Amino acid sequence: MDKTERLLDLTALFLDSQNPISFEELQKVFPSEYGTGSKESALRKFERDKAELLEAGLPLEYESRAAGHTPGYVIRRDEYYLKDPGLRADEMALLYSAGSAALASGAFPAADELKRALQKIAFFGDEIPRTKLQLDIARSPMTKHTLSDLWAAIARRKTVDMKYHSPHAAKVSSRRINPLGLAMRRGQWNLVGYCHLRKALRTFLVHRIQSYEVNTLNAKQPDFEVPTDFNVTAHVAHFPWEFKMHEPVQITLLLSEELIPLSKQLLGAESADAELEMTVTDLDSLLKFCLSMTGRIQVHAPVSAVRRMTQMKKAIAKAHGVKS
Amino acid sequence: VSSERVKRLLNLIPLLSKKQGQRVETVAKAIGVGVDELLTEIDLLTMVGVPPFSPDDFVEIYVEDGCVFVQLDQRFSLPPKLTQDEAMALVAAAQMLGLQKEPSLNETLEKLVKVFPKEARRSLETMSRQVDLSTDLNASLRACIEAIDSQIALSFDYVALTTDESTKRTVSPLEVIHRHGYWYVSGQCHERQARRLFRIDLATHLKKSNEAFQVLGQSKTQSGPVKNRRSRVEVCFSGPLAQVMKERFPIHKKLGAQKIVVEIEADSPKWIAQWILGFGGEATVLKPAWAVRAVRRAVEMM
Repeated sequence: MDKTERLLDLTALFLDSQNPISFEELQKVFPSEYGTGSKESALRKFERDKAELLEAGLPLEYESRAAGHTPGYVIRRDEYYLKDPGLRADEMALLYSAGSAALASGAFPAADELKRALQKIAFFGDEIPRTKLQLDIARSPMTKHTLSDLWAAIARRKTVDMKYHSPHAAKVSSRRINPLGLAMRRGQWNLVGYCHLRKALRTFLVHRIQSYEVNTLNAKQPDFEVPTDFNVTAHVAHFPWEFKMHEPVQITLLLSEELIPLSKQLLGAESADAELEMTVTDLDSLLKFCLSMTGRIQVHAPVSAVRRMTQMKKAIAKAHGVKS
Repeated sequence: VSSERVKRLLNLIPLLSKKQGQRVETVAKAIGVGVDELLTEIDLLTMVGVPPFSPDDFVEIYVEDGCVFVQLDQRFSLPPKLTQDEAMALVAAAQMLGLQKEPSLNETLEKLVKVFPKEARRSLETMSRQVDLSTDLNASLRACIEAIDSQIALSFDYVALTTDESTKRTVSPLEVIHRHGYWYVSGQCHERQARRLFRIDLATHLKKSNEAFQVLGQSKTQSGPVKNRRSRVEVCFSGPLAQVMKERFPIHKKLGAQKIVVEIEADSPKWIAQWILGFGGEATVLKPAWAVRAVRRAVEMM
C-alpha cells in the first residue's frame, strides 16, 4: 500500500471512530501493514506513520485513561476540523489580496504554508474576489529560498552562517548570526540578528546575502534565546533618515502649503502648520528627499544642515553645467 | 514528503466536495500542480477509505467530461485546522495591509485567531515582535482595495508633484501596485477621463465615495510611473551610490571603478529633475539634452 494512502486511511479511521483505537486493533484493521513481522518492527512502522501525521499538523493523541474504553490513539473531530472564522466577504477579499500579492511577489517567507492557509480559509467563502494587488519586492534569484530558511531559523532559533555583501564594503564578510526577526520596508526584506562578528544587533538586507547555512546540529534544540525586550520594528527604519548613521540631530523644515497635510505620510512627522520639527539620524538622506521635492521643502535650521543642503545643490548644479 | 502530500490531499477533498464539477485544469492551477499530477492524486484518493473497506467506505471521487466530482467524502467534509506555520504565514500576510497594527482594523485578525490552534495563539505575541511587514499607509491601502472589490469610486485630494497641481480627484480604482518602495493606485480618473496612476502617500482625505462603477474590459496595466515611453535617459552614478545602484539596475555600463551608467525610461522633465535631485549630487544626467535642461532648470529655480 502506498504510504500516503495508508496515512489517509489512518486519518479517515481515526475521524470515523471517536473512541481510542489501540495498536492491536490497528494491526487487525491493517494486517498487511502492521500485522506482519515482529510486533516491535510493526510498532516502529506505526510510530513513523504517527510522526508523519503529527508533522502534517493532525492532532493525533494517545489516551491512556479513556473512560470505559481501552487506551489507544484518537483524533478528536473538534480538534481536527477548521471552524468557519466567519469572515465577511470584504474581509475575505482583503486577506486574499494580501496573501495573493505576497505569493505573486516571489519573495515571501513560508509561501507554501501561506498558500495552504488561504486555500483552507477560502473554503468558507463563496466566490473569492481577486483584487489586483501587485507587490514588487527586491530580490535575488535565491531570495525565496533564503527567506523561507530564515523564517524557519527564526522560529527554531538556529544560528546562521552567511556571506554578506554590502556595497559600502570592499569585501564580502563572513558572519555568524542569531536571526531574531524579519521586516519589510519599502519593498526590501531586512533581517535583524545578533552578529557574532560585531557582537551587537545588526540589520542585513536579505537580497544581499550571497550564501548561508543554517545550523542543522541538534535540529530540535534552540541555539539561542530571543531577548525578552526584542522588537524587530525598533531596529528597522521606516524612512531612510531614521537609519542610525550619526547622533540624533534636531532639524526644522518649512513645508509648502499643499504638503502640510501630507507631512505624516511623507516624512513620518506631523505638523499643523508650515514649520515642522523632526529628529533625524541620517541627515543626508533627509536633505536628498527635500531636494527631490524641488523647492516644496526648505531646510530652516540648524545652520550646518542648511550649509550641507547648499553643498548638495552646488554639486548638482556643477554636474549639470549651471554657470553660477 | 509524505506529510506534505497528506496536507495537500486533506485540503483537496473538502474543496472539491463543496464545489462540485470544477474543471481539472482549474483545480490543478488552484492547488499549484499539473493536470497529470492532479489526476494521479485523484486516483490515489479513490483508494482511501475506512474499515471494513466495502464499496461505500471509500472516498468516491471521479472525473467526468473533464470535471471533478466527489460523492462520498468519508469525514473529509471540512479542511483540517490551520497548522501553526500556516497560521503564522497568514498573520504575516495580513500585517501587510495593517490588519494587525491598527486598532480599528483588528476585527478580521481576531476572527482568524479564534480558529487558530492553541500553540499558534501562544506564538502570536512573539511573532508580532519578530516579523513586521507593516506600512505607514495601512488605512489608505485598505480603502483602495475595498473600493476595487466593491467597485466604488475613491475620492481624495492629490498633490501631483510633476505638475504642481493640488486637486480633488474621483477615481474608479482598478489596481494597487507597489514599485520601488512606493504604493500606487491605478484607475480611471473622472476629472481627466483617462487611466492614471496615483502615489498613495501623496493623497489625503482618501475615502470611498457613493459612486459605483463597472469595469468595462481590461485596459492595459501601467507598470510604473511612466505613462508614455517618451525617451531613454542616460544617468551616471558615482561614488558609493554606484555600488548600490548596480543592485537596482542589473544592466549597466561601467565607467571606471567608481562610476556606472544606466538607462531609464522617463516621460516628464519634472519627474526626471525630482529623481536626479533626490540623489543629492551623486547622479548626473548625461543625455538627452531635454533631461539635462530639466535638472538645470530645477536647480536654478531653487
